[in-house]
Amino acid sequence: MHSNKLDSILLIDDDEIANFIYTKIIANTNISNNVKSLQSASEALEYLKNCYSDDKNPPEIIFLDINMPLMSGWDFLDHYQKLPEDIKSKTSIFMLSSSVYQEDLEKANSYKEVEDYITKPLTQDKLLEIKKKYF
Amino acid sequence: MKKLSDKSSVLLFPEMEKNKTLGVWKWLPKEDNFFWSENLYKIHGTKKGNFKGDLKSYLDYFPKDDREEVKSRFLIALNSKSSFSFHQDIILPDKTTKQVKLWGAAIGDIEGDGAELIGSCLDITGHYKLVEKEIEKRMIASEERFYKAFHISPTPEAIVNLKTGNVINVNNRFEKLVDLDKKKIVDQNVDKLHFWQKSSEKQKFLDKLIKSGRVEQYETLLQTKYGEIKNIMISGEIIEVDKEKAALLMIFDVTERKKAEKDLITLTEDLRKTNEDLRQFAYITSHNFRGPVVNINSLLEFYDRSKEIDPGNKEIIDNIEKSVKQLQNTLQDLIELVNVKEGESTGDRTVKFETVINSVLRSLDKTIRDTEAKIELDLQLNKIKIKKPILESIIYNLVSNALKYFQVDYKPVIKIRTFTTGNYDVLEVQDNGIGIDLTKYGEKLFGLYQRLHQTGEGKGLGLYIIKSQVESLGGKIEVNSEVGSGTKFSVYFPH
Repeated sequence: MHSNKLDSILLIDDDEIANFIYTKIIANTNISNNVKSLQSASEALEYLKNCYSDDKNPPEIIFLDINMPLMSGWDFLDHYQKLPEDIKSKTSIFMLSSSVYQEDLEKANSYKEVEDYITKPLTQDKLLEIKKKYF
Repeated sequence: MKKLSDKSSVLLFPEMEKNKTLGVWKWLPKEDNFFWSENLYKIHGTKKGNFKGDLKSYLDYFPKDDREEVKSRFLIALNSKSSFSFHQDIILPDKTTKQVKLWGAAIGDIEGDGAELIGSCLDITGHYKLVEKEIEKRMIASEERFYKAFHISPTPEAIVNLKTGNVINVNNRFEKLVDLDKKKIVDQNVDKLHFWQKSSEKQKFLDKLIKSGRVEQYETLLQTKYGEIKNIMISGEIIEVDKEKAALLMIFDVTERKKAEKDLITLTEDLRKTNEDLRQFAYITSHNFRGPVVNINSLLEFYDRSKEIDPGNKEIIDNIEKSVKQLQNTLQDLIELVNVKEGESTGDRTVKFETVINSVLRSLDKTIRDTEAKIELDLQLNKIKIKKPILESIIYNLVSNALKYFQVDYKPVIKIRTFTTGNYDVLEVQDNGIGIDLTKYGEKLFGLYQRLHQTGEGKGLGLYIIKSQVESLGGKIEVNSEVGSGTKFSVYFPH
């Protein structure tokens, strides 16, 4: 098994401590050289649109928080659905939330763009599992 | 003339004459002469000699309009050799009317033209009267029973003449329903009594009643003497009173039931809302606790105990500190909510705005100094009767919000104004801060844990608390805002 690394990973979470932690964990897992974190969903949408217009590769994985001010994770998904197929086909979205509510899990499952729902904390083991299962 | 004295044919039945109501006769058409028995004279209230004996004289005893018909019945029976039997009114010389049953048949020379008519006349006037009396007696008894039921009925009832619109009768319960004495209702016109709150409703009900003779459970509003409005269901049926059409009306007062229904709906809605709030509260609180706890756990795993002075460790400790601070904040929120709830249970007191505002400003002193904020007071209203903790909480939240969302280029200016308008005491807190896009976030503004600003330490609780407090006092809160120029919150307390 050759260890081809993922090109890039995007963290979308308003909690800067969470972003600090998961950037570090992704780095320690050594599955990607490129981790970007954004604290708002609207910034993330802009970023994805720019990837498209600048002809850059979009992130292969997006870890998306749910409870964020102004634009929640759900709002982000509603906007994301309208993005060009080019971006969406190259990107996999994983919900990453501290919510353990069944409703959130069910809602995540209702979006075909969402690969899986991960309850915080995201650990090295979980990351490797994702890599193995989806890539 | 010989035949005239011939009583044989009738005196064959002397027994018949014992019944004074039955008379017999014989008519000889050739001579146009009638033989009447004694009883017949009596029935017709006349004497021998006063009756000439010809057909025309006999016909004079019948009402004018009937004479032709009686005559033709006699002649038809004679000519066709048949018989007749019919009821007929007769008029006596003293103008009284009697009812008789006439019977007649052709006899004698049936083949040739020598036929005669014989017949009887039964006075049935008395019989009629008897039957009428019996009917009347039964009617009265039935009417009595009806009125007994009418008056004893636990349902308010009224009878109204359909032609005149006058009230014929009402029962006890009806008097109580409209709070008006029976004497002031009976014989009065329904329109003048103003029981129907809307005359269009009355017309609708009447149309239905006249069309189908009966209306069941018509829902409408009734007005009592004192103008009190009651929800009623009215049922009606057309009856006859003194040969005129009348409406029998039964009224069910459903005011209490309606009110109970409405209260139940309101209560259910309140409970549903409270439940939804609680659910939302539990969701966000657990989220706000779980988030930092999970972070602290992960951070502790990064911490390298073997190299305490490692620069990486310091960053981790800093983040642990931040997470602990977040936990404290969430805890503080909970304590604040509990305090507010406790504040609700204390009584109203007359409170000076100035006192409360100053104590709030003191507690925010450090922030005010850090932001170099300027606070301007314009207190046209000095005192208000309110639960002090609620007023403190409202002023604290509004002022601390204004201090949080200032524009980087301007020093914050916060104006606090109190005044009275209409039925309200008003508290206004206006800032020159970053403002809120109300078209976009207006609906979310007062929601629980709705944070509308990306930056800052807002927890999304303050405005939710204020709104629920103000609403519990029967007041309201309004917001005016423009992005880039500031926000004004106006809190209306009812007098």
